[in-house]
Amino acid sequence: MTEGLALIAPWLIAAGVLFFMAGALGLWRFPDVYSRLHALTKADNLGLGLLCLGLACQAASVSAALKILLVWGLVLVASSIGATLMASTALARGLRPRTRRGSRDS
Amino acid sequence: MTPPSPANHQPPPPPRGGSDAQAPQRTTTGDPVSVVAWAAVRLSARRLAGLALLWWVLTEGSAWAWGVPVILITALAMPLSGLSRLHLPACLALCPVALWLALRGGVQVALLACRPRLDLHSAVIDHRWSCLPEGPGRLFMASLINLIPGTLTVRLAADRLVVHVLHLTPATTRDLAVLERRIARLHADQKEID
Repeated sequence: MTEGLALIAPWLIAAGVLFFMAGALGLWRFPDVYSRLHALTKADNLGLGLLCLGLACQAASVSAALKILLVWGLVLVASSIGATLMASTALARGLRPRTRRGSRDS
Repeated sequence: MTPPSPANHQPPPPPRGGSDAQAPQRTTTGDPVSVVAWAAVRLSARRLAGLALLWWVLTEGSAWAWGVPVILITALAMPLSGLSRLHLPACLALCPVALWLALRGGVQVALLACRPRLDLHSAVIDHRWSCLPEGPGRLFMASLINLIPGTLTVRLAADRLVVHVLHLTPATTRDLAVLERRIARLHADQKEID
């Protein structure tokens, strides 16, 4: 069991780093603040989740593993609320989202 | 000018002991019944178990001589939240769904970012509230939307949610409606939602 977890841990961490890199690429390439927030909230959260999962697999005890996963949960909550706050502030300051089919589809 | 007469004092409020649905306020009179009820609501098994689990995780299973008083004081001092009224099986059912959505969301954004030609169909759509009542449920949904594939809450209004969609597909609005029904099911005291 422990050997199996130790075997998959590096793969999880490597996958997490890939998602972090994809998130950074999105931050660089996406056209406006709203799309960039997508890159930060989704790709980076998934990257951190995989990283934490990989580290939790290598943890010495169950409680230590849960502590690492707790970090991920707290970051999820913080980044999700932070993204909405940034997006609503940007909209209130008059930054229009760059859309292909007009400004507002419903 | 008519100064208030010194004999005109208010009668003390009746004690509110025995009600478990609402948190009894601590009265300055120190009525033992209301104090016991006040403490009993805060020291429920669910709160204590949750705090004990948190202490166990944070300290990696040691320092219980500190932990027990800290847990008791925290349970007494922590304000009551609406969490205890949530429907536990519905919460457990939501967890894998949320994880799956977060996984799909991350993969989708990563694939879009790595495409050689950036081809986004961004849009801002309105999601009208259909079954979720005003309150923490809507805040929860507004936060959860940021994790699911391609959606970002831009504004939380009384009648709708303004959502920025990174890559609009016909399934997006349907997914939002499904998610709203799932979150509405978390509240056990709510009537059955189809």
